[in-house]
Amino acid sequence: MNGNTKKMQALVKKVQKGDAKAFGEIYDLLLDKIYRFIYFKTGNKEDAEDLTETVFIKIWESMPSYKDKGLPFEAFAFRIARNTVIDYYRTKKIKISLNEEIKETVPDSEDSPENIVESKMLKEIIFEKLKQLPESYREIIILKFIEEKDNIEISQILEKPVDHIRVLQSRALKALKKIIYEKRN
Amino acid sequence: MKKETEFDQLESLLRSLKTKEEAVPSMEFRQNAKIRIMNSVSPDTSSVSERRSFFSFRLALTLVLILLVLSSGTILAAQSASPKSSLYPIKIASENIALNLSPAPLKAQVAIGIVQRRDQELSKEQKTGNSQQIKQGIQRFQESINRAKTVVPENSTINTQLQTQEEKLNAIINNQEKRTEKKESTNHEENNNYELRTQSPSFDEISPSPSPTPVGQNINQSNQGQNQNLNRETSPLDNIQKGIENAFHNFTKEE
Repeated sequence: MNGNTKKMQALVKKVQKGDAKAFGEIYDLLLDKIYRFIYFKTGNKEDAEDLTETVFIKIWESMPSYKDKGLPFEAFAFRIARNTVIDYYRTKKIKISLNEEIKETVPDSEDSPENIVESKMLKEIIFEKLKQLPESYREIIILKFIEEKDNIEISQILEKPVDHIRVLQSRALKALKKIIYEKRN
Repeated sequence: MKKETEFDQLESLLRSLKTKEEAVPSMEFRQNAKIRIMNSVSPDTSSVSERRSFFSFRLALTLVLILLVLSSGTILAAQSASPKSSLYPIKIASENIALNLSPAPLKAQVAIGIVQRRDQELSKEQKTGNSQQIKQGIQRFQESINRAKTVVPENSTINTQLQTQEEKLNAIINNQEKRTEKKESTNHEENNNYELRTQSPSFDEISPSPSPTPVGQNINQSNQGQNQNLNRETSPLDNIQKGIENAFHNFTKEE
């Protein structure tokens, strides 16, 4: 258990004893991660803001039911965030188009890799490509490469076996690579 | 080799998304959302304290009433008595006992409970009572607030409730004063008209109506009467109060 996890577990205990201020500290620790996760899942800022607030209210409401039995609190919070986004899409009946035409706006390959990675335009392009992936692939890529979670944490969040996560991750990367590189070539 | 490079590049690209401008919550959202979330997760202190105050008041009053009921069933019945009722002085006396016997942490809650009772009584009187009864209601409301001020801590939620009640009282007093002024000016005009009529020979045959008594005077006299009446009726309860205080003292000692 690292320092952050220990701190988080201590804060959770405080909140469970009725200390609402400690929940403010949990909010500060998790806000960026939860917001980013939702933003990449929904693809827009407005939805990310609305859903982030909803998620924190739900986390608060779920505090009494959380028990530290091998499930880190952060994974518990991400699970709530994930379910909230799923519910949101169900309610709004939003269908993500997987057939959106890919825009060929990738910059010159002569640029150095560092410049490419840091370029705002390239980020936008990758972001757009990511949106074209099926939800299950997009989710695992967000957790693995953007949130930098290990496979055990991802399996806890997605409630799937680690082996399945590995397979899913490999397929997701291949699918994204296909969208990005093969369309270019 | 090419494959590996492409995957590495892809992973780097994905990691770079972490710093995408819109993937970081804005400072405005960060602060505003926190305020909204913390407001909705923190218990509503005002309503909770109001409920707590109500229940504590009931608790203290019930405790005292249980003891009182042993000696008299009328005291319980008096709790819903209106100021016009003959049981009203008993209600006032039982409240005084509850306030005096309450332990220090409950005193403020009992006091605000009494203020709220006076407020409710006054509201009813404003609907159904005459100006005299309203004036008496205002006086009782004022007294209950003054008494509560002596026991309610300054930086407490109960104090906020007390201030709200005081503001309400001031608004009622202002309205009442305006009405009295209006009435007095109408009476003054009537008096002037009467004088003009009596001075004129053509009105000699008209019998004059009795000169109106100033409104304030009537109320003051009536107030004095009411106060005397209250004092007269509450005084026998002093003995009961003393007895109950002793009984309560013994009861808490046994506890």
